[in-house]
Amino acid sequence: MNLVPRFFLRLPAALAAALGFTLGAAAADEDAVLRAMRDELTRSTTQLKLENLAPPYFAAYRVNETTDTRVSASFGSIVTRDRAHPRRRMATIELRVGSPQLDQTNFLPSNIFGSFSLPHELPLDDNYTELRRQLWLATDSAYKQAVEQLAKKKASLENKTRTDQTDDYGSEPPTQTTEETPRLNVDSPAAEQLVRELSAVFREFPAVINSTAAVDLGEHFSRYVNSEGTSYARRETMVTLVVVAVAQAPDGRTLESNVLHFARTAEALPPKAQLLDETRALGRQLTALRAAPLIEDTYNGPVLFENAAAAEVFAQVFAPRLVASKRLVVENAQLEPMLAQLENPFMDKIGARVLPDFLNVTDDATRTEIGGAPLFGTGKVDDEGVPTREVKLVEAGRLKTLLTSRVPARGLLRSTGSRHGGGPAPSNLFVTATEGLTAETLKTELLKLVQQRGKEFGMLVRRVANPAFRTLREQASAPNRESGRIEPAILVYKVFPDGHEELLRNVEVSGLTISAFKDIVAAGKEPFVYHTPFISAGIGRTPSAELISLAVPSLLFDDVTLKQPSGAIPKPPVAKHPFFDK
Amino acid sequence: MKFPRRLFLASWLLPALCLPAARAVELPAGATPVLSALQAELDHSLTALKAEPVPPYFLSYEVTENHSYVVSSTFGTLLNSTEARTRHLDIDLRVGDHKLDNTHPLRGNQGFTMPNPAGGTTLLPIEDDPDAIRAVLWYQTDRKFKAAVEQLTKVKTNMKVNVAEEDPSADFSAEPAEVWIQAPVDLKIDRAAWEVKLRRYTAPFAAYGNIYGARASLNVDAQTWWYVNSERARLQTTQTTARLFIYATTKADDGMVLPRYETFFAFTPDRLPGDAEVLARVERLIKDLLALRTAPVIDPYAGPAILSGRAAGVFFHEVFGHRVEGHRQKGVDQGQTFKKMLGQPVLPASFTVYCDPTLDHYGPTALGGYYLYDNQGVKARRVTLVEGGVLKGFLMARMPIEGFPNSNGHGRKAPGLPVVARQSNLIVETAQPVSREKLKEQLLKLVKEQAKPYGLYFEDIESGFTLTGRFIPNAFNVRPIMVYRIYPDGREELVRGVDFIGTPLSAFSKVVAADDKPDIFNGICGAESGPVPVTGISPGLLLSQVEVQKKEKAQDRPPLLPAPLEKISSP
Repeated sequence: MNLVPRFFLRLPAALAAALGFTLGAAAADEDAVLRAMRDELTRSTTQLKLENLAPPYFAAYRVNETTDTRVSASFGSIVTRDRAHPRRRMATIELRVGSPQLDQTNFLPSNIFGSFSLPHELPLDDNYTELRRQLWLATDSAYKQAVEQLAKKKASLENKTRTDQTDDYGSEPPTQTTEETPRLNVDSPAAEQLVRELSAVFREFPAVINSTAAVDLGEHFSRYVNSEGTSYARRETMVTLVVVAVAQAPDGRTLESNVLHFARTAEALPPKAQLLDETRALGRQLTALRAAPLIEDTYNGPVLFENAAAAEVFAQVFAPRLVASKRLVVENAQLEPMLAQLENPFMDKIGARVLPDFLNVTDDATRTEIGGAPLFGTGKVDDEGVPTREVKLVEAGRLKTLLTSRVPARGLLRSTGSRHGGGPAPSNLFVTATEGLTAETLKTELLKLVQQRGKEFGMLVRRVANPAFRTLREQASAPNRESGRIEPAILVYKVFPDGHEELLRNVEVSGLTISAFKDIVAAGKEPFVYHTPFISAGIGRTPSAELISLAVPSLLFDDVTLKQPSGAIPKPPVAKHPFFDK
Repeated sequence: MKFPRRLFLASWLLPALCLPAARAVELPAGATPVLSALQAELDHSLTALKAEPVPPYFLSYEVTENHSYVVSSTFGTLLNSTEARTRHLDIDLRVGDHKLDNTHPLRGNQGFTMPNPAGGTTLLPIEDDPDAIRAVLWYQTDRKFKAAVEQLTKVKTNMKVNVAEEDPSADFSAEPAEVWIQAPVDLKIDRAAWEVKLRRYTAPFAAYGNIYGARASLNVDAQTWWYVNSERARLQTTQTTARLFIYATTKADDGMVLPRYETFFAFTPDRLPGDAEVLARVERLIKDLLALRTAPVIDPYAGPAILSGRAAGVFFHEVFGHRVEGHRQKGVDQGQTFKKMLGQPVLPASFTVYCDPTLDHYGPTALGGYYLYDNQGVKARRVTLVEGGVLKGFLMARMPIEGFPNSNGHGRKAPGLPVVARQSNLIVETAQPVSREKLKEQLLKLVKEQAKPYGLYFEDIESGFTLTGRFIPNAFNVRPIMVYRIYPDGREELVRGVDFIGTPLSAFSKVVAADDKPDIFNGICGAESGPVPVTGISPGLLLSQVEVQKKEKAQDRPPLLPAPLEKISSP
């Protein structure tokens, strides 16, 4: 406990915040929400105290305001319409008692559900007093929960020694940041018309049995204040357009694919004519897949993942390993084996080879675009107000470091400015090859390997399902980390020595484990820019989805298994689609 | 006019046929394109499915459109304000026959079963394009059909491996096919004006630093409902509702959470009470909350008590209403409390209890449990449950039970869930009412006879839960909010900290008298088929004995720091 003053004295701004003058005085033109946050935070960190127990040594308030407008349509007709633009304002309280060396966090109590703190709904009106009332109540219950949890954690540690001896919370200099993106122009009737027209395209495709087109226009405004004087106010907009279509092959196996676009504004989406073309291409793609053959025998050998498929595979298998994981203290020792199993194996690989020599990986939230294409993981500071920077993760195939938040982990003591949502997550990931090949040369390399192994043909994957946008769940085999089974491949081609390709349907990909990435044989020159939600999850915290961007070149893997999917096959529909049964 | 009810056709009855051939049926006048799309796809899908080895013997489509507004506030500030229009599709597809079909419950330990992916509700387009609507109907019918065929196989195997059932009644009753068309009614509210009103309703709480939660919410809904089935039922009904709910909570110094609430129900928002009346009730809530904080905690007690009409309405809903829901007399894991009581006295001879969904008002008060047709397309009707104190019947959906082969229009559910028998407007009446003063006199007489230090008066009950299963005690627990001790000298004292507990049959046998002022409780009831609006109406009741136990109590203290308010009112 005697560490608290030292901690504060090192940071003059924090002291100022704690005493509540400078900030209160400078707040004349500050918005009521931020002012209420600062004033109540100051009061809580200085006065909140339960008998002989210490006040919090650190507190932070996050207030996230979202306005989401969603419209969706099916077969040319609106299914959901949102003209009310529902707005919500949620507060989360992060409060630490004890000391940075040992506080109540990084602990898994036996009663896991009792340890969650749910976001607290705040009024939408900018009413200073009422915002403070709600923050006061939320802080009070967070404090009581924290002191109780600290006592439990200390009790658990009485008979154990922590294997992870790092502190519970690291220090960072205070920052004050404001980030604004242009406001969103929400034109619901236009969005409705767009999804109506896109979804009506499937009236041209009897092969498609179920389809939806949806647009989500989201505006997110987050405010953050902590007891060390750090604050940020960040406004972000996000427009998501997704068209999903489902078909069923004559043998009953289901096929699903989509068109997906992200943009900062509705105007930045591709023009309607292009979206209609892409939707028709989706209909044609499913029609072609429906007629395509299944893979006859299981294929083991070289597989070229092109562009979007390479990026998706990297996002699914490799990216989740690039974040640090801290070993938790557990109250119930029976949970230890489960925690050990969930630990990121890359925690033990720093300095070791994880990719071939010719590949490098960096994470960089400071970049806003690549080759004219916008990136969506961009931000000046992370969700703890720590400035973002370029982080070299893999250099010449060697793992250099992992992405961290202010929570130190074994060997990773400083934040890389990578807290997004509940924990560390990538922002914009760049995979580059030092000797990247052109698309043609890559295909030639694939065929060379095919010839060396005495195979009749090689395999090329152009599209892999993105788990965040898949609708059919019941029929597919679930991805599995150990066996390296990933989400179903959508577009897979046999490539013959003469260069011609044959489309296959319903291919299951396995053997794509994290170590398969060490055996990548070659990579492309041009990175493909791809965006996907990244699920930041951890034991004992609420998962959050963060949109990240990736720039990944095509990747030629040495040995991957492609086979027919396992599991039961649904039957084709009994009646014919009523629209085409006339 | 009570609420919009424009009718195009009188209902007529058609004999329940087995599957008629899929021929074009003329739709009743006033039917919207949704109804014709439902009818067309029902015929189309059924024609194809009838050729399958295990064909459906029954298929129904139910579409529920809700145009709903929600506005809510806390301590005088806006929390949210939304408007949405959705259409939910529910399909009931049955294979087998009326006697035994895929809905038959499986017996024995089934372990943990994942919900069937073909279950649940589906959103339907909210625009009236028949092609888009039919595309969804077709796709979902196919999924339902496959799931039903699979389930029937499981049911048949389960029948073979288990002993004969206690109740051999069928799975599905035969009912007349109803045809009834109402013109859809929509509602438009001035959301901005309601935002101002809602803020006003919770503003008075803001002056208090020791009221820790205060919320008001307005839910306005215009519902249009379509139903078609393979027996040729064709229904289109519409109903608007408006609910205002105010809830506030405080905490005693010992950590006990003390809630208080008010609800208002009307068929249109303009018929909800005006600001003056709502604010008067808000002041009353505040007064009660502050009084509750310092009210003494009472010890477990058994003795005579009066339940106010409102409290008795909740009491009857929990303790009696749920136990006369038909399917609870059949389930092998159900307590079947009242099954063997049929024809037996359960209440004093002066008591009548019935459920009547066809009542839209009781005196001047609108009733939330009102409807014309239940969720299986069965016409709503009054059902006598207790007459002359004797148990006469049960609430029935289309699942028969021994001695009750037919539905009586109480098959209800929320979208996405299977129908079970539920309550509508549950009404308790007495032929020998006494005045409130007289009831109190009788209470004091019982206090004296039983040599108790006091009797209890339950003025208001928050909610309750009731366990009707077999493996846990078949008990009820209702949570009183406003409870008074009534001393032999007539003095009343507010107390806190007890739950009203007991077992149903014994509690019922203790009812001795009722007053002459029936009160109405409009609420939302939750059970296995989801939340449905219900009403409970009862006079105040005198019970010769009730039992109360200590309430479960939060251990958290009230907030450590005072409220961050410039002006704080303290009691």
